[in-house]
Amino acid sequence: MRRVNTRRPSAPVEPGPRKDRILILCVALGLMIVSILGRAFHLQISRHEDFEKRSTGQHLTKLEVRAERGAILDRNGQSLAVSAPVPSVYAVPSEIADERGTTARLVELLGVEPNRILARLQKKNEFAWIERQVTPALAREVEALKLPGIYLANEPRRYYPFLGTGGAVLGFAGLDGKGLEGVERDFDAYLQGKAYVLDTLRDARGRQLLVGGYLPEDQLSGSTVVTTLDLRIQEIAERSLMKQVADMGARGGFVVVMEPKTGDIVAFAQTPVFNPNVFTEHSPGDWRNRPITDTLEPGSTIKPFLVAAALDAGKVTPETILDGHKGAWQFGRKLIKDVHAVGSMTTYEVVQFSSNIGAVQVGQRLGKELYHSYLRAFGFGEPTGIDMAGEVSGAVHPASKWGQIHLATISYGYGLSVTPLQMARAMAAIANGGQLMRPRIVSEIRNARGDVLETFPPRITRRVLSEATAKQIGQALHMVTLKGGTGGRAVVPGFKVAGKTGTAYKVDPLLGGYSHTKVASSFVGFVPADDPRLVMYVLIDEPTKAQYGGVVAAPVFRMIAQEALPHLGARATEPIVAQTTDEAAHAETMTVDEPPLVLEPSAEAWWNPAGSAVARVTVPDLRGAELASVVRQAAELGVDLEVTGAGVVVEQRPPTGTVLGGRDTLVVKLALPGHVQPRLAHADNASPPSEAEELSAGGGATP
Amino acid sequence: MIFFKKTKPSSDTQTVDQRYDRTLLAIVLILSGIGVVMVFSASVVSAQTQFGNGYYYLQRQLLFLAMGIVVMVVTMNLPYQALERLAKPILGVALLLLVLVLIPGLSSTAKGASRWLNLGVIRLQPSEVAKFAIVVYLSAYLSKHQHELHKFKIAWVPNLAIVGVFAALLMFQPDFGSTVICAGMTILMVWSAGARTFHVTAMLAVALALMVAAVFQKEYRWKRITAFMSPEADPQGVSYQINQALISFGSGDWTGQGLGGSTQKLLYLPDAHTDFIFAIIGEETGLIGAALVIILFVLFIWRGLHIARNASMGFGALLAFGLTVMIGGQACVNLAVVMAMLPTKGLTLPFISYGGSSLLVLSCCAGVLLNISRRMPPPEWLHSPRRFLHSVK
Repeated sequence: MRRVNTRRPSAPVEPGPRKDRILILCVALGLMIVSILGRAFHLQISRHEDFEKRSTGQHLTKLEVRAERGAILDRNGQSLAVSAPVPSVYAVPSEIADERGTTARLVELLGVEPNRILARLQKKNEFAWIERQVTPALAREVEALKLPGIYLANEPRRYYPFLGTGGAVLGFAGLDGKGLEGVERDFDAYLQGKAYVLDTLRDARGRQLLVGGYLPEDQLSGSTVVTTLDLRIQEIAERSLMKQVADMGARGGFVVVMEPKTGDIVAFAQTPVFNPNVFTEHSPGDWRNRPITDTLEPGSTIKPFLVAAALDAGKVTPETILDGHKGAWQFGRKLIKDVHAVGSMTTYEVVQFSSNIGAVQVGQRLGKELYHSYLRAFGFGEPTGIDMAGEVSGAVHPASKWGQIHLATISYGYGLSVTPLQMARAMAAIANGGQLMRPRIVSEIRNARGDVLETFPPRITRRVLSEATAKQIGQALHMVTLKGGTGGRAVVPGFKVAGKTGTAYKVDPLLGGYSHTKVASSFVGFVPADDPRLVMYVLIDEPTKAQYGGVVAAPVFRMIAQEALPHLGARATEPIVAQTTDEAAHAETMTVDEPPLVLEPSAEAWWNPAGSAVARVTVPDLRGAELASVVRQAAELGVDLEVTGAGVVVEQRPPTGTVLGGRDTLVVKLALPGHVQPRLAHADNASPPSEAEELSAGGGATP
Repeated sequence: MIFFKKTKPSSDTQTVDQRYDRTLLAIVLILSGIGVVMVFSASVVSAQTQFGNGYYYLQRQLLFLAMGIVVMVVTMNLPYQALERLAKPILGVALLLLVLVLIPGLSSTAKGASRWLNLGVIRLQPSEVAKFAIVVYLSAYLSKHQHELHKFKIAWVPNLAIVGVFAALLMFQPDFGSTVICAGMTILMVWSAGARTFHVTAMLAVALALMVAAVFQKEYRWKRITAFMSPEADPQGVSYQINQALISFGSGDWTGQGLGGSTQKLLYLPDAHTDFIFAIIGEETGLIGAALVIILFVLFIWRGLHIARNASMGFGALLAFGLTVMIGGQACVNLAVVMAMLPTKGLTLPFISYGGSSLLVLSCCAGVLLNISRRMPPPEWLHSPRRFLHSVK
């Protein structure tokens, strides 16, 4: 350098830049390039992992996504529950400068609660919901406001396109897509879209971008649950039930429609209608799937199972003749009455005329041990095993606890409790030739593409009856719907119908005994009788316009079957004749199910031995009792007795079912048979037995 | 020196080598092609965010490239010797533009700097023109005074005065990067043309002193220096850009994330398609891609110096040298900045970074270089245009 520095340029100088200096520059440049390359190597190779980590640390985020919830279909592929995206409004409070102004605008548009929103915005979090699942129109208005920090996001919302149809069976899923009731809850594991953590790219403004294209949606989204419900029949069942409940001024009701050969639940109708789209507007009580959560005393509808058991066990034959006792039979301390008074009856006629007297005799022949084991075999007293949560088992008490009276009352359906589904299932066992099926609500699971992932085949729980017995009892049940039977109104034109009516007095939970005014009217049967397609259980709760199962519940059976059978493609087998049967004539032949004489301290105690009703007693129905009987009963109850007149009890005060405590007085008025005395003040004027008296010509005010 | 071996026995003969330097042309085209691809890749997210059109910068860069090729073809074929006579007018125009850009109404401002003149379709960056004008002027001046360059008065005084004015105007924008390039280029050119090394050392000392003064004058420059010294200190503040550049470049590994695979372009790295495009190149194509670009610039410098060495006349040689130093120097500074070897400056990577006026001026430079490589004698009319015009009549 020194040498270069001191050298004087000597003319002539070569034009252009001096070559030696270019060389120096080249060397300098070369060094620079080498150092740049070295630096590049250092950064990209040696320190690569460090930078890679910092890079992924800032742009890779994990986004937890829950894939779309699966649909619920009916057996024909109709969508009963589907998910669709709807907009929700949320805020990023840290981006909002004017919380009050923003709140005011949101309140104006969305009608949200100002203080709650303001508090959320002032928290300055990164995220806060403002209003979830708003209408698209509202979402557009929110968008048009262009409020800073206020955004829209699509959230999946659950829709039940048929509103309340099958609502309680379907249940509902909450805002966060978790099944909370019904099939939505019980099959949540299938319906839930898989939750997965997605690596997303986040840009410097915090916006997330998906990488790697679209998601394998059909593998991640929830499975489709195919139910055994038939939307059409469900809808028919609900409509028919609602109509009858209204027409009969009833408190409510249920319908269970089942396929006897598979145990498939075709419809589950109940009141009130529960619309899962607006589940918050219903009380939690409406969410219950009442055909599996509610129990009731079956009343006369138990008779076919009793008779079937006796036939199956060989204790009676169809030819067995039973004593009709002319409609009134003093069985121990209990007077058993029949509306349809006969001198004698066949086994089938016990069912056909719903004879309590006959049923008690069949029960006696069968014996409590066998009867109990048959009841259990029919599935009473145990959960049916349907894949739905909340099912109750009902109560069938062990035979060892039965007295003679219990055997008698259980023979005509009091003293045990069953669920509507248990009734339908037991009837299905008769209909299908003796096999008890496990009720099925879901038949298969499909993935989002429609491939079947899992099937739930029909399952036989056990054989209850021989096929021959099933055929015999089927014949008896068919007779119920023939002239003279109690179930004429269940007849579907063109089809043979088999079934059984029932009218059971209800236990009054307030009074603790059997009510005289409140009945549960039911019909359980199947159609067509020869080749059953549908089993149906209908219950109308506390009808006020009429009471008999044959009048109140049987028509619902007919209404449903009339529409459902053509829908199922069932061909009429019988000539369709105009129904000439006078309904009133039918009514005359109908039997009221006698409430049992309660000798327990209270009816409540029977159900609930640990109950607190020990000190309280329920006034039994003393009407028709002789003085000696009245005195004995009063002593057992521990109440004072005041008697007027002579003969048999015609009136009593307080009325049947009243709960007495401590040292109350029971007032009875006796009269000679045949005399109708003026009533005592405060007597229960509108008591159903008085109606029964009018209806049952001979047996009314007897003893 | 094998690299600078003369391809022809004599430069002063009438021998005409009509062939331009095809290697240089290829390098320029390859670099521009890489530029188009990388501008698109680096800008797609910001363009989408800014304009709702991810292709915005790609479309414009393609347009500029087309215009640049036209400019290059024109400058390749017109006799470059005309620039010797036009040196002063060009310098004047450049000076005017630099003054105009300081008038608020006429310029576009980005990040506190007024660097562009709005000319409708294109935003002209006068500093690009200024660099070219200075090179042309210096080439003309130095080739004319080459015998007296050992004299300080001849070699430095007028040039420093002129460059000083330019530097002052550039600093007003402010455009520190271009100022440094202009100053460095001037010193190198004067020195290589024959000025005394002692004077150069003195000049460098003065330039350094001025730079230090300039750094202290504006806070953001000082911050850039501190950011350079300790980039980890404030990764969200002053060191944000260089940190993001390092993250981007450093995550490349050998082969990179793949073309289009950059994640830093998701608005993390500011100026990803302009000043810091090399960081994206490193991220997407790895060390292999980055080295390829570096080698292309080395080749460009080699060809440029080769042309300078073989130029048929002093002016052409100095011009080729100056342009090569200008472009190569800017490339080196840009690479060094991206890799945090130098403090951050507002300098683009020649031929690759997005920018209309930059690409047009660079095309012009490349055209002139190719033109010089043809070693065409100046046409008759250039010596005495009036007589030529007269003879035509």
